[in-house]
Amino acid sequence: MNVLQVLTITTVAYFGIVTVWILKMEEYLENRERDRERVSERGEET
Amino acid sequence: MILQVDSTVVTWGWGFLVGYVVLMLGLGYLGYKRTDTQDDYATARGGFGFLALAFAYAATVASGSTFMGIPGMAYGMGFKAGYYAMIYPVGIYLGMLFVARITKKVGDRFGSQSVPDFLGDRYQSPVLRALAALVALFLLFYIMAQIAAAGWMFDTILGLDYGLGIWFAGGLLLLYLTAGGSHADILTDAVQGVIMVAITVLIVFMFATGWGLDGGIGAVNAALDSGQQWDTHTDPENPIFANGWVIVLLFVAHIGFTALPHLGNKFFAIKGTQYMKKFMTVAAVSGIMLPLMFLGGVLGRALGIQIENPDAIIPLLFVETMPAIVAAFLGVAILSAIISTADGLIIAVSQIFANDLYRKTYVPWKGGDPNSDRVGQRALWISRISTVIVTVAAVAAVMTPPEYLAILLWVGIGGIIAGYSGPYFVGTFREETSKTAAIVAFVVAFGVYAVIHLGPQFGLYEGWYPYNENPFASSGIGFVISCVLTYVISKFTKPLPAGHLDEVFGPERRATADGGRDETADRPRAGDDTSK
Repeated sequence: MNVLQVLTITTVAYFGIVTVWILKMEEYLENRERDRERVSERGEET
Repeated sequence: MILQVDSTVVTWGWGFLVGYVVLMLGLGYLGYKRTDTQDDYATARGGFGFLALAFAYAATVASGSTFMGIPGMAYGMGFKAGYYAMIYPVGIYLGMLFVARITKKVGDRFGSQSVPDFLGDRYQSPVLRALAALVALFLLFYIMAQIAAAGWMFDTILGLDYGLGIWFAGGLLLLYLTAGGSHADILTDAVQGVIMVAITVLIVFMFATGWGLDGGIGAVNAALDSGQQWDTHTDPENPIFANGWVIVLLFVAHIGFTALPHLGNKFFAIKGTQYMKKFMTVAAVSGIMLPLMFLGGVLGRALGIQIENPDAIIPLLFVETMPAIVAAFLGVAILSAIISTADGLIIAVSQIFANDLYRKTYVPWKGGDPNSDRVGQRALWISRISTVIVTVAAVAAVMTPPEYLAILLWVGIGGIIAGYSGPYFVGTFREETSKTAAIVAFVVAFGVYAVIHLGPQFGLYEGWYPYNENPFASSGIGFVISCVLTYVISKFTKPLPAGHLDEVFGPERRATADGGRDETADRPRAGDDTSK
């Protein structure tokens, strides 16, 4: 493989990670935050 | 060194420069109208939508080296320079994905006004805040490097004396930054980001069509010397490209580069975390485009353009192959790259004095309230005065550039990568990360980086680390040590109080129209679907 091909694959992988992060990880982090708050609220109620 | 440019190019160049200055000052005035408080000046909190902020972020990341140093590197080394040009933004923008949301959220919740301040608030640690601020002071040398680049640009393209050029650049920065602070910084950077992307698209088009050659990209490659062609991946003689390992460390180090305060403070300015995905998308795409400028350096070499200083290859490529008006416009694009990084750095350094050291360290130490109006007004004055002092000092210092400027520059950049990374990145994902772990990791990783890179570079002793000449390979090691230590030490030390962690990791309050927070809307409501 030449340099341009390596860089093209790297860039495609980069966009793949960006896409997965934006579509999946951000949702996961938001949900984790909400779960945490629910647990915290339950703790306060009891 | 002045390029042999046509007088038409110079005339157009001055015309564009006047237009550029008027535009920057106009945007600076708009920034001034939006700046009433210290928080406005330091962060422009909640003041921008995703599009403007994404272009501003991309412009801030891409410094003068994007249009000069990187194409110059490609002119000298050929295609392998792409490993630097295209790998560093991958690191930075992946780092951005990791920390943007929490920086914004915690910043809004605790009123953090800088990355050192964020670390202090995240870990409830004035010590960590002060340490981070002190290391960030070395960013003054980064500002100096940008000012020197501006002077060189004026000298090379417009024939203006270097000494006058640096004061011109410093004066322009002073005018809009002291008035408009972060609002002016981001407004001007957003416009400059668009200009830079436009020039990059043109360069990519020229490369892809083999501009001036018959046969497209293949002809470009064929016209290069064998060591510069695309089948040569490394150069054992060059510490930056010695082997695959140092290229991996270059990537690792640039994840940590995201922690630099002039980048991290941009996240505070977005209207709310609900815009974060759009911001990340536009920034990730536009940011990775700009370093494609390296292709211009490759094309310049393939065209056989002879030049004494490789950093001027893009200007000369335009002068030799483009109509005068386009070549002249390039000067504005280069100036945009330089100014858009310098202004963010100046604001970030001014906040070390106004916020990190005065408002959040000195005032609480004396028993005062850092959130009082009086302290806020005083901090705003310190912000403006320190902006003036930092800018004037940077310009004065590069009238005769210091001997160790390149090394001093890396005390700040590498020190931040090594010191901040563990507390910033590990602390983003692991709630259990302790204050002790953050402080120890900061100090030890900075110390290791200083020992393996800074000591040998200052000539204090012989370096034993094989890549000690390479700042990326050295700060990449610092990044790894910082993250590992933060993680491991947290396993054995006391975590922060649960109530504080609830504040840090709880869900974002919904943003109001003015960019503030609706405190009543922060709890999940019955019927909210959180199962996606």
